[in-house]
Amino acid sequence: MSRTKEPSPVTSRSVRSRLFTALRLGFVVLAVIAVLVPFLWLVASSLKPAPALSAGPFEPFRPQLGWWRDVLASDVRVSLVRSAVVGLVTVGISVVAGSLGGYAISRFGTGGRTLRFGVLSGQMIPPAVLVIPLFLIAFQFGLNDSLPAVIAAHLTFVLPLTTWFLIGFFDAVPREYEEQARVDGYTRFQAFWKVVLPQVRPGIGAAAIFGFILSWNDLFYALILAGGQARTLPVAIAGFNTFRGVELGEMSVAILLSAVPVLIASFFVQRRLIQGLGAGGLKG
Amino acid sequence: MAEITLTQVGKQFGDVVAVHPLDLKIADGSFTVLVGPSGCGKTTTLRMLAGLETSTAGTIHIGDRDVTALDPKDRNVAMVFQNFALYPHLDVQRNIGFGLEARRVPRAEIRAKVKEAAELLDMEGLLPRKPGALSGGQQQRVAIARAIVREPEVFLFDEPLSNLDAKLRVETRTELLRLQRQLSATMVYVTHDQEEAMILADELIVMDKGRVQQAGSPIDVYRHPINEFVARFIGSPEINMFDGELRDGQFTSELADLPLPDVREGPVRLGVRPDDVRRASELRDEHAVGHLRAHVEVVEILGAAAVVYLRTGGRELRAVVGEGEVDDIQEGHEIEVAFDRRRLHAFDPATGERLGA
Amino acid sequence: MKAGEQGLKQTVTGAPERLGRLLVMPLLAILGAVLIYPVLFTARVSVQDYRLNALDQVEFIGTEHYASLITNATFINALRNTAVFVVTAVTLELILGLALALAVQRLGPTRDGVRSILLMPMFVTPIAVGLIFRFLLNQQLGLIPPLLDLFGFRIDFFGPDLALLSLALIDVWQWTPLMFLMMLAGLESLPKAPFEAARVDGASTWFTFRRVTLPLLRPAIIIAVVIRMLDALRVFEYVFAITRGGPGQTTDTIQYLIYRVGFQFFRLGEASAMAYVLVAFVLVLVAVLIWLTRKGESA
Repeated sequence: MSRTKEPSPVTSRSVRSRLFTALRLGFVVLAVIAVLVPFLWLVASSLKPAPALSAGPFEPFRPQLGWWRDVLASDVRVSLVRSAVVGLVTVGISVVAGSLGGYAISRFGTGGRTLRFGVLSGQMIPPAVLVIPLFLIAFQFGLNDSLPAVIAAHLTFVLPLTTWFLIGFFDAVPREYEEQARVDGYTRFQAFWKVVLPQVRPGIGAAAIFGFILSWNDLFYALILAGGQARTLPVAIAGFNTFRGVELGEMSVAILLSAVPVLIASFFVQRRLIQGLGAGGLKG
Repeated sequence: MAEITLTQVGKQFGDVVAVHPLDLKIADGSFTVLVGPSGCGKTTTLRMLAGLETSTAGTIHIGDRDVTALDPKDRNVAMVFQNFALYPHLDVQRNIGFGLEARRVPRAEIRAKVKEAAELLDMEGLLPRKPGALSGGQQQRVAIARAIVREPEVFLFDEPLSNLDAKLRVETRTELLRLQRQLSATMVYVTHDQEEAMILADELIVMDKGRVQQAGSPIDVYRHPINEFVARFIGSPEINMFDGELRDGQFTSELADLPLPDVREGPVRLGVRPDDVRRASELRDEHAVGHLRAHVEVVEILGAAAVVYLRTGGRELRAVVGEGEVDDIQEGHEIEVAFDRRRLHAFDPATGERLGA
Repeated sequence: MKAGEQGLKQTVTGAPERLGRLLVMPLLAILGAVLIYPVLFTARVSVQDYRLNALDQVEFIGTEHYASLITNATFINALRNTAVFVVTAVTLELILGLALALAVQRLGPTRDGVRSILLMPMFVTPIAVGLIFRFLLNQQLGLIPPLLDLFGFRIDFFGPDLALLSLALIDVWQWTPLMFLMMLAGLESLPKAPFEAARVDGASTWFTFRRVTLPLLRPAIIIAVVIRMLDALRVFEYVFAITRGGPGQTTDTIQYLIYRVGFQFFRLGEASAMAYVLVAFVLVLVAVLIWLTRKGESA
């Protein structure tokens, strides 16, 4: 066996590892550029006057807020509010039902393994399957093209996911805390409120934001169940789908209105997301 | 096997100096132990030897090769980690052979060498199992076998026994020594347990705060600690220390007065090991100094010996007596003790340096 | 999951059980209403000749819809397109996502910032992403074609040959970050010690990757791939934004076809049958996932 290899000191650590590091860094830089370019293009497009939009991409232009003014004064503003309402209601219901149920599943094992993993199965059902009956039921109640139908549809994916995260977060709080509280004289409910909830609250916050983002971004259900008068923001964005260059400016504004709040929220959520993935998702 | 030379090797993390530049020579075929409290720099030094940390100063030679700039895999060293670091997804056979596979050794040769190492450690039956199905002691053997099979120039051990229970630790300790003698291997071993260090070492290197405090054979370090730190750290129970003044060859203190020649005048901290605190009746007159009456508080029976915790002049004094003497010593009573004048240690209270002989 | 498992093993009767059932009711009620009932409803519709513009003629026709799908060229074409899309996109996302995770993991202080930037695409609503790229890749108004022109390339991204691939690349842009996130989480959860041992044992970077990193990462990769596949099966927004199934039928995907058949032609019975076939594929995928994870555990 070659026991005393004599590599020249020059080729080992310094040069080779520096080459690897350069490659790695280069790769990351390329990825960052690939991610940022469309966003930058979007921002630029939202500020370009109409003639500049149909000119080449490298032409200098004078930024103007015309598109922003137009879009914010238009129906898009209302769609934004509708999206927010749908998101908040969906998340609100999901957090409440998910917390109660999640606590029971975590602490009492209600429903056993079936319920614990069955909750997640809702995620796996293709929207195509659910949208048809939701559409028909809404149609029968005269609720088609309305927000309640969209909320019901959004619950199908936000509720299971929120519950799953919450089960994971409840699991992570040792039973001993509540047992200690109850020994100290608190009722079950007080123990939950004073001891468990504060520890889970940041997790609930992250799950809520995540669920809100999913609802905010949905097009499929919103298009089919509320595609006309009650359109939400993604549907409104889809409405800019014509080929005239004029629409590009307004479309960019609408997209930014949709994306920027989410991006800001996402920065707060990220660390919790990774924790949640590690706790419940990947190992489960 | 090879001799290891560290020349002015140091490690700095930003502003924090973990290891001050030190010089070490580790003899070929010796069992060298780096011992010291947590944070003293022993593990960092070992890892620099391995190449897992890059030194910020100095050069490291293994044999006559300068390995300072080399990756761990090019240094021809093997390392046994504290938490075993086995590959959880591979069975024992492949764990042991991993390093050989990485070097493209032919499969038949790998199988033969793995078998050899397993036989050496008496663990052939474990070969098809996975680490998850092994006990701590068995996992440790796998880690050792993995090191052996590579026939490295140097074996490095990073506190390999601290994750084992007490009895297993003692057994494995003996096996390690036997192994080292059998292979005539150069082994560098890190531990914070001074007893373990004393038992295993051919050469003991005591470290504290990033510096080598003393290097020598265990008995040398025990008998002639070079400073207060070494005196306290090595030896269990801990050495008795008390302060006093030395004037005209006489040491005076609250506890006892005794003659102390060959030491300079001035404040002196006297150290007496518990095994050198004896019943006055057990010491020959010409060896006994510092007679005093002490109150027996606690007697801890260890079996072949006993630790006696005494109180005198408001201070605690520790003594070690043989099993035969225990019957005469009762808790709550008083006994007369004296120190063995041949085994006194004097230190400068300000610097901790050894004074005199 | 100590607390959870304790809950599963608990055989206490009385207060905890009753309370548990009470707490779970809102959850079950909602799931029952929006999930279970609709699933059964669709099953029923799929065996009926249900057309929205002929509601008086709804009648039971058994498995006729399903049978006709076997010979339905459009349906088969959509299945094939979807399969090609899913395999292409997810494979690329896995390779890129893993490579990015490995690269980013070793970054120092910039790591969190870079990670935040790299995750941005997955938070934008997919319809917007589709529209963005529709323009970015447009010959006159876009960014990429002029750049390619500089090098002398002229690529028709949404022509019949490349449209499906282009859509897959859009999916890669949007969802590689998710794969990257999952791979990063997986990498961080690996024990560090074996990697140090490998360094000392003499394994090269590539050998360590192949024989230590990948095998240990296997469960995470399987889950990530299945999650992404399930999602990619539902591709709709990119098609809706750009190609509307065309040119010809080269980008007609399953979910888009169901949308067309059900909500443009209003043949809801047929659409329901198609949806259920999709469910069958999903079930197969999930079964494969379970089998693969079981195999990994026992091996």
